[in-house]
Amino acid sequence: MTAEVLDQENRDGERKWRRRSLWSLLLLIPLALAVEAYDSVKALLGNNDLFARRVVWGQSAQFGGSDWKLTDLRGAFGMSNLPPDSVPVLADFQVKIGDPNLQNLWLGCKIVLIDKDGRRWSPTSIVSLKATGNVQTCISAIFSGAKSGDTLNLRETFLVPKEATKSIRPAVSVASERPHFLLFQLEKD
Amino acid sequence: MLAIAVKPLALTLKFWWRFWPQLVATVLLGIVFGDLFMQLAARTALLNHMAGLALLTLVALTQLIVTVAMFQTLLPALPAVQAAQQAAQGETEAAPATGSARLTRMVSVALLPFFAYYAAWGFLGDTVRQYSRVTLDMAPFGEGAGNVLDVLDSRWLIVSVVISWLIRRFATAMQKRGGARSFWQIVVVICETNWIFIGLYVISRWKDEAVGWIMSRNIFSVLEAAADGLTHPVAGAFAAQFVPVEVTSIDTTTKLVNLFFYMLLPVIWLVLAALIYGYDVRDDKELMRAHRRVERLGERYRAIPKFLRDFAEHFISGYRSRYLPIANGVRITLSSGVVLIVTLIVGYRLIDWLAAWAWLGMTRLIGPHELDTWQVLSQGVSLLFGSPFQDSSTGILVEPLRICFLAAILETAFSLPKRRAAESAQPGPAGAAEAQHA
Repeated sequence: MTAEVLDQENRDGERKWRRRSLWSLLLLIPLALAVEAYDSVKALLGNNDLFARRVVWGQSAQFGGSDWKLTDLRGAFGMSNLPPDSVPVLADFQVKIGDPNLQNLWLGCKIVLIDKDGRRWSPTSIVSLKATGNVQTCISAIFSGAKSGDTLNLRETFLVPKEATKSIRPAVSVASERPHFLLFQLEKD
Repeated sequence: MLAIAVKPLALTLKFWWRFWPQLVATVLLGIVFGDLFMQLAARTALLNHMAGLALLTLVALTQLIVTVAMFQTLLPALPAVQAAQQAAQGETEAAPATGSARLTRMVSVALLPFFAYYAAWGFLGDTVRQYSRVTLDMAPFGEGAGNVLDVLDSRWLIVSVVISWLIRRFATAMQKRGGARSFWQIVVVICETNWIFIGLYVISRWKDEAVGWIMSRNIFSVLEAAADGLTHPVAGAFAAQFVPVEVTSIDTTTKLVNLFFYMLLPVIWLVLAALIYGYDVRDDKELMRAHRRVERLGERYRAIPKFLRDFAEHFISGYRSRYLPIANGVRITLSSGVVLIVTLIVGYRLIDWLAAWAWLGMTRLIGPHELDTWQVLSQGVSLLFGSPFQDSSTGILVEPLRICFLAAILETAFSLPKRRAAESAQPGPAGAAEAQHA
């Protein structure tokens, strides 16, 4: 076998491997990205409310093993000692317990208000309003010992800017359902 | 002079253009398998610490195979290195091997010295650090599994080494008997990698502990105090002055030592490249030939009675085997001129520097996001450029360029007329012996 033939064979082999490698990149790049980013993507999906499930006013939705229904969203105007141009807002829910394992299913329960620009407000403890005895918050309900079939009344209090009150909507999320969350619509929607 | 500096750069781009799909695919394979083996090792470690450590060998082996494979991919474009290889191997080599036989040869010849060297320079420490981080992620605060690295201090490790050694013996026997030689060769390599990994890493830890123990006995403090007492009979009672950290400066010696190690890493990688191409840089004969005075020194050393030489070897052999390849690596490049070694150091560091800036530039381009979103985006950026915050992180755009650059430097060093003339005057460097040993 002459050197030229060998050289030609080597060149053909190299070209063949170049082509194979190019094709393999189509598979290897997404695969490497998936392997590398798996934990980060899992954390992103598990820690964030990304996909909204809209709930029409007056309807209830199955979420975290229970049926959630928004019963009221109203502003408490006329309170003193508050930051200027801010309004306390109360969000009331009625939850019919399905699966009573709340300590697992409702872990990381979060009720927030979202406006049309995507801004979010978490519940506040600055404003304290008197409530009837059987009203709880989302977190306290986890440890209430509620059984299947019980109905819980939940209330969260928020402090939002006056200009945002027109477009705010309440949203509920729990770790067992993330990245999905419930976005409740109002009567006027 | 300028031509010597420019040639490796031009060659780097040429190699990269010719081989980038193969190189990028190899890096990606390394990332995928390295990550999977790391996960496997970490999950196994939660059940059994020793088994986890044994599987960690596969992670180190993957890293090495990827590097070796990348250098081997470039070999057809390195005529001067090929010529040096052939001269080294002489007539002992039969017809060019193909397929699995070539892989076996590549693994057996290049991998073991490479691995030993890799371990000696503490690159394995990076792998162990990654491993401990992954297991800590899986079991925060060591819940359930405890500290997976405690096994490194366990004397039962010797049993693991003995098991590896027995499997290796069996594989060697099977290899001699014939049949599936490549398979048994790979088993041998994995076993050897295992005991080299455990042996080198753990023994170096024990050595540190022993030195620490000796140091903690206050022998030196007593001696120092005695010496102080002699030189300063009147005791001084001045407390050291407080200096604000902003006005402190690093002294020149520290700067020089740091600079030395900063410059050393590119040279180490050049030596690794030379090892992979089968050029024996551990042979001191060539180094002795470098200068007449050095040669005379070597002769005088050999004239010392053997028992004295053995005594000296006992203490210096570790450092000798560690620094001799570097000395030879420096010599390979220095014999081609200072310009080439400066090109090597500056070019290698320039690639690192550019990669770090590219990483930073990319983060600026993407802009601010929430932390969880950024964690995902950063994985993509690190896949391209490697992460400046992780040990042994390789980017698919940077790693091929680095390997091409090292190969280009080696090719330039071997193709210089001065070196060729020297080789033709003294044919047959010791590479053949190394290939045979392996």
